[in-house]
Amino acid sequence: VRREEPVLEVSTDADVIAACDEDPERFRELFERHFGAMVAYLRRRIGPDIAEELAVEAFAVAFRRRVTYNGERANARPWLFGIATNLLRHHRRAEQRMLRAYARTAVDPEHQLDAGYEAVEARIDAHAAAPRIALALAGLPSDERDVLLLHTWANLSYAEMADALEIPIGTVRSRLSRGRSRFRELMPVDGQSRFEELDEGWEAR
Amino acid sequence: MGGEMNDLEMVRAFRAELGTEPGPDRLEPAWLAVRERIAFGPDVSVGRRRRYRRRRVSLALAAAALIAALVALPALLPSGTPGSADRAGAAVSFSQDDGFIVAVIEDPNADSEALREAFAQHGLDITLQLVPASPSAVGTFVYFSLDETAQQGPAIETLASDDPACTTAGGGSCQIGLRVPVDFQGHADIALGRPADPGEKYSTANDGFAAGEALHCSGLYGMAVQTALPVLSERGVMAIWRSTDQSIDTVDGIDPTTIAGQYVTDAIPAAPGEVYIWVTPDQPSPLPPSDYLQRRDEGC
Repeated sequence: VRREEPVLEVSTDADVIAACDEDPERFRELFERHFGAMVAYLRRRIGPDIAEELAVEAFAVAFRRRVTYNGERANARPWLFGIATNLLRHHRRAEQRMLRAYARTAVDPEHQLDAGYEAVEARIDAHAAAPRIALALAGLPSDERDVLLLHTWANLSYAEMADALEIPIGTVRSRLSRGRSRFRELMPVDGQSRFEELDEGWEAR
Repeated sequence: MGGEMNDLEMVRAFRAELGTEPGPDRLEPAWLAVRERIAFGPDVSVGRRRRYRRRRVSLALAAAALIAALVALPALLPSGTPGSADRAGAAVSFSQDDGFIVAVIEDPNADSEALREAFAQHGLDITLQLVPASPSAVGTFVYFSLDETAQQGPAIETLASDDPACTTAGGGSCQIGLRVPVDFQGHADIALGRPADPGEKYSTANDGFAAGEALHCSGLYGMAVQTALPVLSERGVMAIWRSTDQSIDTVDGIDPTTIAGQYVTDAIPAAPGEVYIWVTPDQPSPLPPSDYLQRRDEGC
């Protein structure tokens, strides 16, 4: 029904996606609304070098799969972040490397970072817990890390995460609950790093 | 980091360490890259739309048949069906439709090997599992994962019923199969929720308070454990008590008499008639109104 309505001046994401059938160029509106937030999220997940490329790919996938979009969802951000999260699964090693780079840097100030991480290096001094957090995140299974970071970094609600990941809300809750428990377990006590034992940890999953 | 900061706040604060939005100058080159990747023209979308409409008409009958099978839970196959090819063929029916292989699941109890064989016979590397799911997740796809090759190719579409009578317990349209592009390459791992057998643990579960679930409209959220016990007993639900307090929580459940004064804060279905129920020492605030809650509690 929505597809047949005339285009309004202020369109929801669902309106824009539906309108792409007649005018694919309208996809740019969706892109402009969400590209910045998606790149910011992906930069945090896998670093600046791959983030933008991955965001471009996510939007291309979204365009191709737009017939699967649930038109009852006015805001497409959860759907788009779900697509980006699926693409991230092929970059787990990059994510692991980046998280561990934080930990190493903070432990060893002499360690040389890639140019892209300079700003981060400066901030870490002011944030003593960052390396421990990075290590704990690196130690989580990827499905639990996805839920934890979609919730805290992309500000998605439980229902939005269920939409994004195409899983029931109960699964979102149990993954978040397990992820949080494991995160707390992995936070090293008194600055003792568990980096070595994590090195072989979840990467293979 | 203050000692009072909880884990979620800690992770949220860490976000600021890790980068920000790109500058506005990045928008145009990125859009051009998207545009190039899509290479869209009017033909692409018009074609898709036509197929979509045709599918909705032609498969309504099959949808109704499958959901009837899912709900009634019969084993559709005679026991001891000989030969793996026959077994595989009976699990899924295949047809072709405008560049797609249309796969409709015929046997809601088919094992994953029979389903894998059935897809393999059509040259498709697809692992489809029918996993025990809590009532409102039955008939919904609960897991969908594509390898890199599959992600780069044309998309697999899920096949939803267009029959208004064919709905999941949560009110969504029921899923009955897949539409796989004939040139599909790569591997897909997919799971569809099926009803659990008595005593069988759910592989995946919805919100315990959702429509169709054991605690829908129970009003349990925020209730003291001692008040909740008779409500559960009346509904014939066995609770496995869990706590948000990690020091007393155990996966096998806590003795409810030790937490009688604590309050229910969450529920996740565990198996038919069994629900994990989380408690917290302080009475939780009422949940803020949301579209999700309104849908979940409709008719309560």
